[in-house]
Amino acid sequence: MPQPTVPQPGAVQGHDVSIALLKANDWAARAVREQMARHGVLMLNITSSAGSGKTLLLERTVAALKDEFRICVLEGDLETERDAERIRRHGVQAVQITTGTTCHLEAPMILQALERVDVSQLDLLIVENVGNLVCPAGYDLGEQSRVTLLAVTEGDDKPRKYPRMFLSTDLVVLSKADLLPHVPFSVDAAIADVHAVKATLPVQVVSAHTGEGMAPWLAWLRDQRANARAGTAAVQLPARATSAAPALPAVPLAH
Amino acid sequence: MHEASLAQQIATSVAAAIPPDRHGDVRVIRCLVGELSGVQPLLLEGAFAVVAALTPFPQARLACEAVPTRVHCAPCDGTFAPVHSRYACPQCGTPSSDVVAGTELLVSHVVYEAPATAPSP
Ligand SMILES: Nc1nc2c(ncn2[C@@H]2O[C@H](COP(=O)(O)OP(=O)(O)OP(=O)(O)O)[C@@H](O)[C@H]2O)c(=O)[nH]1
Ligand SMILES: [Mg+2]
Ligand SMILES: [Zn+2]
Repeated sequence: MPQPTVPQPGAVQGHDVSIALLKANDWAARAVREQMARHGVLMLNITSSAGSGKTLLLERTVAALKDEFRICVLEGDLETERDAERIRRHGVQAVQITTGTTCHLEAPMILQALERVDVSQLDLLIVENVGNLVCPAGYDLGEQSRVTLLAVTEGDDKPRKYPRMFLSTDLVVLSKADLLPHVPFSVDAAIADVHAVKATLPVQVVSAHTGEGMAPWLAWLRDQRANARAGTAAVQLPARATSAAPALPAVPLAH
Repeated sequence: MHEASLAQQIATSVAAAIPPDRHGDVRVIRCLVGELSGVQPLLLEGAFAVVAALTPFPQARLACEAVPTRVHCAPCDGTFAPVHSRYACPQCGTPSSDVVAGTELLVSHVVYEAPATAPSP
C-alpha cells in the first residue's frame, strides 16, 4: 500500500469501502440452504400482507400432507404463539419465532430456531414470514422456493405496487377465492399485474376455506419436494463417499 | 420499515471496518440504497441522525444515494429502467426480471476530517 501523505489539520479525506449491510443475513441464509440440501429437505418461505390467509393455508396443507411428509413449520410473528398453536393442533411440529419489533424474518433467526429441530428427520420445512409485503422481500432465509399470497380482498392492483416481493417469489397464490363473488377483484387483472412484473411467475387461485384449488397447490408442493430430493442426490453422492465427519448428536424434537 | 435497525447496523459495520483511532474523525458515511431495497433513504438518514450520538462517530452524518432499478434485456444486450413496475424492455418488448441494479444496500464511502493537530512526523 502506498504511504498516505500526512493530511493538513482539518483536511477532509475520503475512503471508498464496500460494506454490504445484509452480509450477515446472506451468510446465515447460505448455512440454512446447505443444511436443507444435505438432508434433501424442501424449505418454503411463505410471504404476504398481514391476514392474507397464510396460517389457514398451512393448516389445510399440513392436514393434507402430514401422513405423506415429515413436516415442521416455523412461525414468524411480532408477538404471540398463536399461529404455532394453530399448526400444533394438527399434530405437526411448529416453532414460533417472535420478532418483537422487527417487521420481517432474517436468516440468523432461522438458524437459531433450527437448533430446536432435527432437520435430518424432515421432508418439508415451511416458514411463515411476518405479514408484510415490503421488508421480507429483501431477506433471503435460505429457502428453496418462496410463495406469496395475495388475498382477493386486497385488490388486484397490488403486484406492481410491491414489485420486489413479486420479483423474488416463485409462486403466487390468490387466496380467499371463495370471497370472489363479494369483492371487486378480477383474477385476470391480478394475473396480468403479476406478469407485468415477472412474466414467468405461476399463479394459483386457492380457497383454504372451501378447499377450491388445494389440489394443484399440493401438486406444486410435491413437485418442489421431488426437486429438492433430486438436488440432494445430485450434489450429495460424492460428498457422502468422502465424508468422515461424525454425525451430530440427535436433537430431540421440541414439540 | 426497519430503518432504525439498519442505522444501528451501519454504525456497527463501519466501526468494525475502520481503525478505532479514526472513529472520532468520521464526518460523512455514504450509502447506496437501491430503489427496490424497501428502504427509504430519507428515513434512513433520519434514523442515523437519531442514533449517531450513541455510535463511535457522534459527528457523522449519513448521506444516502438512491440507486435506480436497471433490468437486463438479453436480446438487446442492454439494460432498461422499468416504468411503473413494468418489467419488459421498452426497445423490443421482451419481458425480463433480471434485475442488475436497484436492490443494493451498502456503505460505499467514509469521509474523515484530519485531527485538528497533525500527528508529529
Ligand atoms: N373466506 C375466507 N377466509 C379466509 C381464508 N383464509 C383465511 N381466511 C381468514 O382470514 C383471516 C386471516 O387468516 P390467517 O390464516 O390468520 O392469515 P395470516 O396471513 O396467517 O395472518 P398473519 O399471520 O397475522 O399475517 C382469518 O379470519 C381466516 O379465517 C379463505 O380462504 N377464505
Ligand atoms: Mg399467520
Ligand atoms: Zn430488449
